Amino acid sequence: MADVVALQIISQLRPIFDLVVPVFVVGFFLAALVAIVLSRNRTVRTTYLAGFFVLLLVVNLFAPVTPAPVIKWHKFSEVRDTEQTEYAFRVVDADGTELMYDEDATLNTGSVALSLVRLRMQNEFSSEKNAEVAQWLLDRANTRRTSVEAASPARFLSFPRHGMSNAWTAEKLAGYSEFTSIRLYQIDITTSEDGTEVVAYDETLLYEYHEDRGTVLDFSVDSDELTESVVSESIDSRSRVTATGGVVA
Amino acid sequence: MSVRTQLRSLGSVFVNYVADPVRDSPVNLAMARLVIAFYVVWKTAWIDWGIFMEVPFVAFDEYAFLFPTTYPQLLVVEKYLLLVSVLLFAVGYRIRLTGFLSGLIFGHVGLLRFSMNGSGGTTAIFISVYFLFFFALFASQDELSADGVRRTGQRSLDALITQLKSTTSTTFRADALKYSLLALGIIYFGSAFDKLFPDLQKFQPEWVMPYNLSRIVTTFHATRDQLFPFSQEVVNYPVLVFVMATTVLALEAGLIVAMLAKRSITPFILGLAGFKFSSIVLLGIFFGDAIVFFLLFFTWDTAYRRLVSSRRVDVVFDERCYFCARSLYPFKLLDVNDTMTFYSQSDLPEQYRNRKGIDYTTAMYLFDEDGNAYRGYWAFRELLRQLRVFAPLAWAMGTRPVAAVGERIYEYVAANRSRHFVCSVDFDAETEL
Repeated sequence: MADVVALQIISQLRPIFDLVVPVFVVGFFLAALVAIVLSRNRTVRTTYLAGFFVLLLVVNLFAPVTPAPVIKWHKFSEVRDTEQTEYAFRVVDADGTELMYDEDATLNTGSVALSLVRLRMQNEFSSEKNAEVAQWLLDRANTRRTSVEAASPARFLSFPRHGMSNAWTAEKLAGYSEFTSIRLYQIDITTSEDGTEVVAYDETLLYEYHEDRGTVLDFSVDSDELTESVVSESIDSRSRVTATGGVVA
Repeated sequence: MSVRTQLRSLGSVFVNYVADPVRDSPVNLAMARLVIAFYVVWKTAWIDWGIFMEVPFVAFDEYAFLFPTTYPQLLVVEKYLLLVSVLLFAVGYRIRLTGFLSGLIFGHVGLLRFSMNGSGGTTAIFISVYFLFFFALFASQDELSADGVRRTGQRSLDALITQLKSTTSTTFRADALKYSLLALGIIYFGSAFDKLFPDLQKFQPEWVMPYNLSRIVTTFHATRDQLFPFSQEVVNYPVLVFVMATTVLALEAGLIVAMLAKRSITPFILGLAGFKFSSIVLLGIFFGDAIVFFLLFFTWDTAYRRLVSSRRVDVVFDERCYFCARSLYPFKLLDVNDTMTFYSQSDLPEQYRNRKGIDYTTAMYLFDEDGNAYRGYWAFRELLRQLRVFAPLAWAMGTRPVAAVGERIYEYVAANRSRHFVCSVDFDAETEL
């Protein structure tokens, strides 16, 4: 009941929330500008620094979300249960062979977090939008493949990637034919109590898109249930994702 | 050198600016400026905004207002504006302006990336924005910079000559690095704090239990293609896993404690750097940004001091030439081992007087320990050689085509300095400068 009330309040306050972020962002840079312009004034300088560090401290100790550009590095803070759910995008070639999606395929520098892509696709987007996103993922995968196979020496000059797992190499890609589909799996995994081994592993195909056939499998979530869960999961997950830096797949 | 001294010198590989922001040379601050500028360029140069704008949604749509959807080409303009701005910042030109502008634009870049991915590789951008703002805030302290040279124009010739000839040590504050280090300390402390008190909701000491990290590692390896599959073996050594978890907490929380207690931060920085590399091996996650940030606090001046030539040289310049004194000022700052002694006509040592073919009013001269004289262009080259970091430039200056052009330029500037620069000074009117 409390959750429903909270959701209603959040929903009603949404227009105000929409203003909070722009005001905060602009305020952050404006305060810096004023302080720098008047930096010869010791009082201005001290006031700015005091305000900045109080804000940074509060965000790092108490804030449940990351109000960029003020940030925190809360990584892997959550104590893991034996049962965990992960999600994985896989690209599929014409022969039906799967390959873990390389998150850095999404952009040429950095990446779009696949955890966020999954979240939006599963909870918010329409079927048409999901197909558009899946086609985009597929296009990016093919572009990435071309780039990896070209093996330009310039790749050594770019900033080292953040997430190094699932990175594609020319050797890894050699055994695959043309990429034609994108699949999203939910992986339910149970580890032993001491965490040393996997005792149960279950994959469920949630979504599949084929470049010629379109959406092959859509998310099968009841629409009423989805409406209630969207806001809470969205808020919770954003907090979780920024806090863990992409721990959720 | 005793073992104790050696240990002490190892302990100060990274400088605790929070404990003491004062150094006896401006080298560290200048190097930190270069490091942060290099980081900004490295993170920005490869961004393709065309690809970025093709993403069919904004993951965190609270930040969608920052997207120039009507004029996406503005992002390209912005990128090159940032590169120009940060390169000017790197050489220390108008640091107040270029530091803020670079921070503002890089902040925008960071927010756009954050709207798609809130991982550490993105949020690190904001940390560098804080650093840029601190540099801008304390721009007046940055002496080894274009601004520092420009500021010599506000000093009298007499003051400049006195400074060049001074043998007393000068101190330089680096408050930009003090506050940058403090910000990093708070962020790491918050990281440790949240592991034990997540969102202040509860106390979870079980975070350090071996099963927690083991579950993370096991799950990662079961669901991702890892770089080092063998690293999963670590979960079979619970004591090691426990030690790793507690060490991470101690390093993250201890950094700011060491700062405030005025202790060495070196063990914490090195430990955290090691932790970054272990996270590549265990989880395939790399925080390369943090390694760059740590370099801001490295004792560049100590390393540089060992690099500079120990050869002693005497430099003789025209004491009536304001331009000459200003030009020599950066060399004085870079002469951290006091190997350069500056003289002018009025205090010229006996051995340099009445030397055949030498006219101190037409060019600067440098004399090395063997008494060899270098004039004008070649004197400048010897000064650069002395500093060793400019060895490639000194080598290039020694090649025939460069030297031919360089000598002509020097002679032209020397002959026309009164016309192009504030140069010849009437001592009676000097105070008006």
